[in-house]
Amino acid sequence: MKIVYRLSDWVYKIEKVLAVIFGAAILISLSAGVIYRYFLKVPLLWSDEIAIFSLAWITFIGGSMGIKQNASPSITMLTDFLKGKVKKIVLIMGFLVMVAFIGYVLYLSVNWLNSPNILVQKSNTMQMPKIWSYLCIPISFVFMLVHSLELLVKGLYSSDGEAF
Amino acid sequence: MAIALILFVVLLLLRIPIAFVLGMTTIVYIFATDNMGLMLTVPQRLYSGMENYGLLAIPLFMLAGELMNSGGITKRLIDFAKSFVGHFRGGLAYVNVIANMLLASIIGSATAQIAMMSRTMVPSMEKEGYSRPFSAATTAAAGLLGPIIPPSMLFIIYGVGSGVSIGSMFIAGVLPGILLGLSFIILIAFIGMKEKWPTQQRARVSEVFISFIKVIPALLVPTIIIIGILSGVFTPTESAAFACLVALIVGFFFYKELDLRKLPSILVNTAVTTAIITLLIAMANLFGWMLSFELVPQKIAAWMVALTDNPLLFLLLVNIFLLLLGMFMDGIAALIILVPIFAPLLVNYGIDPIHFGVIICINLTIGILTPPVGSGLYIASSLSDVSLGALIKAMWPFLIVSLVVLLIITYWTPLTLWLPSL
Amino acid sequence: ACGGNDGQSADAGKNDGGDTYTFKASHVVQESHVWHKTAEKFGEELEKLSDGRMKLDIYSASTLGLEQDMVQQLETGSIDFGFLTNAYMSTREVSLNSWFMPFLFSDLEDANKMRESEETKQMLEELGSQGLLGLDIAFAGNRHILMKEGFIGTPEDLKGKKVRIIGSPAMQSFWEKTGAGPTAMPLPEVYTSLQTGVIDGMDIDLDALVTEKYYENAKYLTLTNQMTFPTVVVMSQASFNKLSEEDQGIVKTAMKTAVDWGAQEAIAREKSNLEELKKNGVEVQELEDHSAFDGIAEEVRTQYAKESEIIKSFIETAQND
Ligand code: NA
Ligand code: NA
Repeated sequence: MKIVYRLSDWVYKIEKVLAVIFGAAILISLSAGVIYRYFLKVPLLWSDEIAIFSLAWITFIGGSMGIKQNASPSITMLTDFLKGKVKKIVLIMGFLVMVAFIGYVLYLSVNWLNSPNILVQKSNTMQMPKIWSYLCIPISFVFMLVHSLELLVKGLYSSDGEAF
Repeated sequence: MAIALILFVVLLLLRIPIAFVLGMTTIVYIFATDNMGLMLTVPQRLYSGMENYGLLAIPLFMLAGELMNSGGITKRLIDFAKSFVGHFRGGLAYVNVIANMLLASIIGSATAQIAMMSRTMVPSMEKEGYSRPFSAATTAAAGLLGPIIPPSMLFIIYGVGSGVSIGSMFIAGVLPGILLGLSFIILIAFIGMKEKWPTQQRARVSEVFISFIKVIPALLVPTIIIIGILSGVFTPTESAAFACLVALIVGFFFYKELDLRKLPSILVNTAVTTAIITLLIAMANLFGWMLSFELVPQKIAAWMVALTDNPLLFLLLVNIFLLLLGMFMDGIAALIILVPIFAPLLVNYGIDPIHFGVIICINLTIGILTPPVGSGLYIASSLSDVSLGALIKAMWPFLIVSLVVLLIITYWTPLTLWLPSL
Repeated sequence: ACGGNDGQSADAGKNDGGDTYTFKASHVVQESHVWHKTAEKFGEELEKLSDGRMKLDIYSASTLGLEQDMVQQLETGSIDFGFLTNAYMSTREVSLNSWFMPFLFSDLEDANKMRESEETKQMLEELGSQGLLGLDIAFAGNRHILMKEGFIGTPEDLKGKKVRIIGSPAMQSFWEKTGAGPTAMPLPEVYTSLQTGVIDGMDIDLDALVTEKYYENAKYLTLTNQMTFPTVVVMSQASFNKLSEEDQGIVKTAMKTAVDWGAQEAIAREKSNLEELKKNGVEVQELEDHSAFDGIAEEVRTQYAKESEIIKSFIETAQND
C-alpha cells in the first residue's frame, strides 16, 4: 500500500512543476502579446495559442491536483449526516466509481489519440501538431488515476472511509 | 433522460466531485442510448471545452488575487477604507463593505473574496465589539460584490457561453454592484441605530492622508485595468494579465512584501483554484453536449414559450427557478449548464442578453450564501469559526436586501443597459 | 446519426418504401446564416425526394462542438452531415487553401464558377482519407475590409494598422505581407475592440457585418473581394456506406439542389446586405484596381502552388476563366 502513497506523492511533485511552467506561460504570453501589439506595433500571433495550450494543461493537471487535495467541490449533505461503517461504505463506493470513470476516460483517450486523423491536425497559427495539446488528457488522467487509487486505499484503511 | 437525472443525484450524494459527476452521467447516457460512436468524441470534447480565449481570464484573476494577498495590497485597501469611514457608528461594518467594493474591482470571485476578508475583517470587527456571527455575515454578504463589480468570473463564463461581449458584461455590472453595496450600507446603518453600536475615534486628517498615500500603489491595479480597457490598449482578458503584472510590481517594489521565493507556490495555488472552475467547465461541456443531442434546450424553450409570452413573467419564473436551483447547486456549474438552454429563448421575449446575463449571475451569486449548498456560507463559517446556524441567522437581512436589489435590477433595465449603451 | 430514439441512423425503422432515416447535420453559424438556410433546404429536398422517409435535424451554432469535435463525430457516424468552414478544413487538407488565394475572384459569382471545376472535385476526394465524403462547396460572401478610418486602395493604406483576421495560415500569410498587423481575435471581443480601438479594422464578409453591427464602430467599407469564404459540405463516410445505392443517390441530388440554391441565395444576399449597409450610413467604396496588391498576391499564390499540385492547377484554371 505504501507504494501507492509514494507514487501519488511523486506524481504530485511533477504536477507542481508543470503547474508553475504553464501558469507562468499564460501570464508571459498574454502580456507579451499586448506589449508587442501596442508598444512595438508588431502583433504576436502565437501568444493566444500558447496561452490556450497552457490553459488546457493547467485545467487537467490542476484537476488532478484537486483530487489529491480534496479541493473539488462536492455535495457533503449525505456523508456529513452518516457515521461509521455506513459512511465508509458510501465513501468507498464513491471512490470506486471515481477510479472506474477515470480509468475508462483514460482508455478512451488512448484510443482517441491512436486514430490516424489526430496527426493530420495542426494548430491554426503556429502550425504546431495538435497532439501536443491533446496529450494533456491521457497524461493527467493517468495522474488522476494514481491519486484516486490513493484515496480508495486510504479510505479502506480508515475507520469511517475518510481519506483526508 | 430520467435515468440520467436519478444517476446524477445518486452520484452527487456519494460525495463525488460535481465536475466528475457531470462526466459520469454523460458516459452512462451514451451507454444507455447505445450511441457508442459518440464515446470516442468524449476526450476530444473534454479538450475542446478549454479552447476558449475568454476562459484565460480565470487563471489570471486567480493569480492576481493571490499576488495581492501576498504583496500586501489587500491590507492597504482595508486600512484606507478604515481611515475614511471607521469613525461612524458601525464604522468597521462600513469599512468591510467599502473594502469589499474596492477589492471587487480587482477580484472576480465571491468565494475568493469571502476567504480573503474572513481572515482579516472578522477578527478586527470582533475586537471592536461586534458579535462574531454578525461580523462573518457582513463579510460574506459584502463578498457578493466580487463577481458583480467588474472584473467578474461569472460574467466571463456567461459571455463565453452566450457570445455576449465580456467587456459589455463588465460595464453592465458597475451600477448594479454599486447599488448592492449601497443597499448593504443602508442596512448596516439601520441595524447600527437599532443596536446602538460603538463608534471609533475619528482618524486625524494626517492619518487619512498617510493611508491615502499608502493605498495609491494598490489603487494602481484597478486603475490600470479600467483605463487600459477603455482606451483600447488591451482586451478584458489581456487586462487580467496586466493586473497580475502590476500586482507583482506593486507588491515587490512598493510594499516590498512579496517574496519571489513564494512565486512557485502561488502559481501552484492558482493552478488548483483555476482547475476547480475550468475542469467543471470542461465536464459541463460534455454534459451540455448530451443535452443538445437530446434536444433538451429546444424542449424547455417550447415549454417556456407555451407557458407565457410576457417577458417580465418569464424573467420572474427564471428568477424563482434559479433561486431554488442556487440552494442546491454551485453558481458556476449552474451557469455553465443553463446558459446554452436559456440564451436561445431571449430572442422570443425580446430580452437583452446583457440584461439577462447580469440577472442570472447575481441570482446565482446569492446562491452561494443559501443553504444547504452554499460555498460562501461554508467558507465564512469555517474561517471565522461561527456555527452555520448562527451565521444564517445573522445573514438573512442581507439576503433579503440582495433579493430586493435583484428584483430592482430585473424590472428596471436602464440600471444594467444604460452604461454599456454609452 | 441518432435515428429518433435509438442508435445509429442507418438502422432506424423500416417502412414499405424502404428504410426511414433521421439524419443529423451540424454547423457553426447562427440560424439566420445562409449555410443554415442551405441545410434547411437540404432537409426539405431530402423529405421530398424520399417521400418522407428521410428527415434532417440541424444542430446550429456549434451545439455539438467545435469543428474538430464535429469531424470526430462525422468519422464515427454520430453526425451524418457537416458544414465545416474552409478556414478549419484547410488546416487538415492543404489543397483547400485554393479558395484563400488572394484576388483570384472578382466577385462571389466568379468564385461560384470554380465549384464545378475538376480541381474542386479533387479536393473533395482528398477528404476520403479522413473518413469524410466531400459533397460540395457552399459560399457565404467574399471577404472585404472594414476600417475605422479611411478606405483601402494600396497595401500602404494598411501599414501598421491592427486588423482582425481569421486565423488561417493562408489568410495570415497574405495579411502579414500587406504590412498590416493582423491579429486573430475571438469574435465576441471584436465589437468592443473596434469601439475602443484595440483594433483599427477587420477582414469581414457582408453578412457578418450586417448581423453583428460592427459598422456602429467602424464606418469605412472597401469592397476588396480579396478572398472568398466557403464551407466544405461533407457527409460521414460511415453513414453513407449504410445507405442503399438508391438512397445514396437521393442524398447527393438533394445536396446538389440545396447548394445550388444556397449559392444563388448568397449572391443575392451580397447585394441586399450592401443596400442595408448603405442605408445604415456605411461609407462604401469599391477597390476597382487591385494592381497595387498583385505583387503580394503573387507571392502567396506561388508559395501555396508549391505545396499542392491541386492549388497550382486551381489558380491556373481560375485565372484563365
Ligand atoms: Na470583481
Ligand atoms: Na446555495
